[in-house]
Amino acid sequence: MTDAIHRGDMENESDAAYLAYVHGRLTALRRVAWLLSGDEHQADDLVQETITKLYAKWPRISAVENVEAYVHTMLVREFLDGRRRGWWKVRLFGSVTGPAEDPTAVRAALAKVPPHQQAVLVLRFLCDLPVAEVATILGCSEGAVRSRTAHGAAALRKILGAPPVRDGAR
Amino acid sequence: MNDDEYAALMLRPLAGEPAGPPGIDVPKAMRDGRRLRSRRWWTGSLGTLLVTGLITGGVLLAPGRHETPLPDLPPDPAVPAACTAGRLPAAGHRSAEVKAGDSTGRWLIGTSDALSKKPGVLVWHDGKVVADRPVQADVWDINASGVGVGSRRINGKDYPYVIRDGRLIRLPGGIGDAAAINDAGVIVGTIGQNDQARPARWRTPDSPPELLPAALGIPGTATMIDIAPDGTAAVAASSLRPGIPTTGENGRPNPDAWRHFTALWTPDGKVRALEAPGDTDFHAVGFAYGWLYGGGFPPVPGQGPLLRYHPDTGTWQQVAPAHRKAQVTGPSRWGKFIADVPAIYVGTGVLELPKEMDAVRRGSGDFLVETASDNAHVVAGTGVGVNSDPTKPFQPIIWTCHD
Repeated sequence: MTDAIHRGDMENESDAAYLAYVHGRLTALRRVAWLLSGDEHQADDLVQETITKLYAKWPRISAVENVEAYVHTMLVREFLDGRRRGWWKVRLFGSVTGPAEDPTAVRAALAKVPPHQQAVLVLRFLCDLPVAEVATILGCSEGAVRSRTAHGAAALRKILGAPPVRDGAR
Repeated sequence: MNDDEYAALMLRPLAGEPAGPPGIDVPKAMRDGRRLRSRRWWTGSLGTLLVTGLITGGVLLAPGRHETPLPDLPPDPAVPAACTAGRLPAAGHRSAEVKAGDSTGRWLIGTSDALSKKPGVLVWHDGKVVADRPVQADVWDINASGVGVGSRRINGKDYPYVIRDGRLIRLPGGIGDAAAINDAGVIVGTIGQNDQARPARWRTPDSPPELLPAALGIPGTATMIDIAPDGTAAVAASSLRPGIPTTGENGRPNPDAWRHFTALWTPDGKVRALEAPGDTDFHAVGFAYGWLYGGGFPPVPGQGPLLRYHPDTGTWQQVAPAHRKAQVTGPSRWGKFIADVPAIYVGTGVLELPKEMDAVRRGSGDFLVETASDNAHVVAGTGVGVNSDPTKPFQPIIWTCHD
């Protein structure tokens, strides 16, 4: 290889690396987005937006040590931004009805939890990520993750009440 | 059961995988990403020029139109030095929200018990409730004579109306919506509904509506945004880009097929589309301080710069690199968002407002700022519990500011 690499060649290499990364991670990213948003179309939009911004930054991002965490951070930020905006004066007044085992009722309850706490709950208990990794993704301390977990659980408890009693359980 | 165990157990029903086929378009992401790279360059380079211009008092972004001399731009009000927050009376209602205010800050209009079975309309004058009407209605604006506008739902259909001296008067023209009113009493809104809605203007509450003329490829379904003091109306519109399919490969609507822009409809009946600098689609949010504020499409805070346009001189300014920092006040339904720290743009500056602590204590400590007087000394909005507790009542809030 010569030292004189044409700019076009560099772009091609960069694009190929981007494509390889995205195609390898698309399913996992979509699952995280779906778990965060609870909606397939919204999940697709979150991933679409994330990989668009990822491409825009790819020449720099591809060199960072932990691309995976970085991309998850981008995805979660997209989600949090969407929750924060309320651009159309969205009112989150969907009623939480039905038993606590009903996914619709649980999703409605989760949507009422403040966004950062919601993200922590999803990343920890639905994506099964350890506290340290969630802290990295959210750019906060592990203590903050634990605190948000506690507050998020308390908010859920307030909405959903006690866990359902199962056969054999007291 | 500790918090971790409880959360893990209760969230278990949500575990799983998305069922449908993915609707993610990687080539599109690369195309859009490429555009973002160039836009970032544009924003950065232009930002430098803009900052220079802002410091010297004028910004020139109208290519080839106003190179010299500097355009005569309206002075922005000073960003107030301090504000105090207070709760507006709610005439005994559990919940009330401010929706709009006039240019002087003396008149405010809003709704009461919006989520209950007995909603109403409230009008405040100098901080006191002067009208309390038990009707199901939306209100969007009020002028310096205390005349409010909005829409009232009757038998499942919305009709445009004005509220004056506590009386509701339906506007001529049938189904529709009244979006804004200026101090001269000119009203703008829409006639018709859904795909048939047409931007409309009423010279007086008694006069028949004039419909936006078909011009410049502006479709009839454009959305009315706001009206300026001189009667110029801002209309948000979309048109199909030629040669681009309206449906994507995944069978879903192709957002790239549409161009989003803003048109000005002047009192003489002329219509002109605005061309924002660069390749930005400009979506107007509302008139304030003599300018038309707006941002890139989709009108989402944080995505694209917040711009403003001065209609008399054709001057563009960048107010902020992203919308998210603060809210643009005005009657438009676009551009508002709920924030835990209330803040608004005053000119090109940002006024951070103190939280109203009574609302915070009552669990309604997130804020939606709706209106500011022309001198930015009176600001009003609503304390809500969306991010903390949506069951909490809305609290109508007023901020009084001084230089």
